[in-house]
Amino acid sequence: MTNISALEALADPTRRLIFEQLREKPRSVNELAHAVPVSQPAVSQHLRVLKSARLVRAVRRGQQRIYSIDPQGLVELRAYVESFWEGVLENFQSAASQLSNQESSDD
Amino acid sequence: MIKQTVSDPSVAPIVKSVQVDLPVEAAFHLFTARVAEWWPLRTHSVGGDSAVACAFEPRVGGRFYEVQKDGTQCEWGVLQAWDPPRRLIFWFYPGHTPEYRTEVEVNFAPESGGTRVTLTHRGWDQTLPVMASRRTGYVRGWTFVLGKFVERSKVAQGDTP
Repeated sequence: MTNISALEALADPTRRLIFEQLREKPRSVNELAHAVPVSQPAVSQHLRVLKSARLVRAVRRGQQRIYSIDPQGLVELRAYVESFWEGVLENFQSAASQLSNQESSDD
Repeated sequence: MIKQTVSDPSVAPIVKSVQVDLPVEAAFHLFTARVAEWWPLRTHSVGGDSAVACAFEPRVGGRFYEVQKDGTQCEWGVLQAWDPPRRLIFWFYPGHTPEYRTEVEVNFAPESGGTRVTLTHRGWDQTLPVMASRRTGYVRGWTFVLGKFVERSKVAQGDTP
């Protein structure tokens, strides 16, 4: 698990919802607080977690911070999927090598 | 307006391959008919510790699914191509419904007296519906991430000029 923090961050339903909102377009904390059923301080807290997992990033615009999806998160999720298949194929390979040893000893 | 930029390679297919010392027929058979014998269920399933088996229904339209301790079946995907012993293709959406699918193709080719097994996981750039916010229930991390990965890729695709 190369990126458990991204996984953990997205395991929370509210954070997922916030993430989905940002997928549509970048938004301020205020806008997010209107779009999800939690208070603004709670939204800010969730954003901190998402940011630490590099799933979102923020830029300052005037008095506001505008949040958007962080492409770095995509890289990490991709690495996760790659490691998923590596785990599967490693197991397949060792099962195949057992089978192949069996068959050669049966000869 | 803040532009989101995600590079193209992030939505390219994921390709993994291994070589095994089995004839193509035996490799295909082990991969499909005997999948429950080697698939890492504890770490690569929806049920985790409660997953006891997984299986392919060997035909186009057949399911790829997991069986849990209590007999519950959880669909991981549906076969789109079934060409033994050379190839299978399945939609993949463990823990989700087909609308959140990606696609996995597995090819078996003779190589150096054994078989080269190549797995291609694609469909990250497909257009998919927004995940309903109520869909928050029983989904383990990795299955969820596969779905999210697709959604993220949609962002990437939409923002690529």
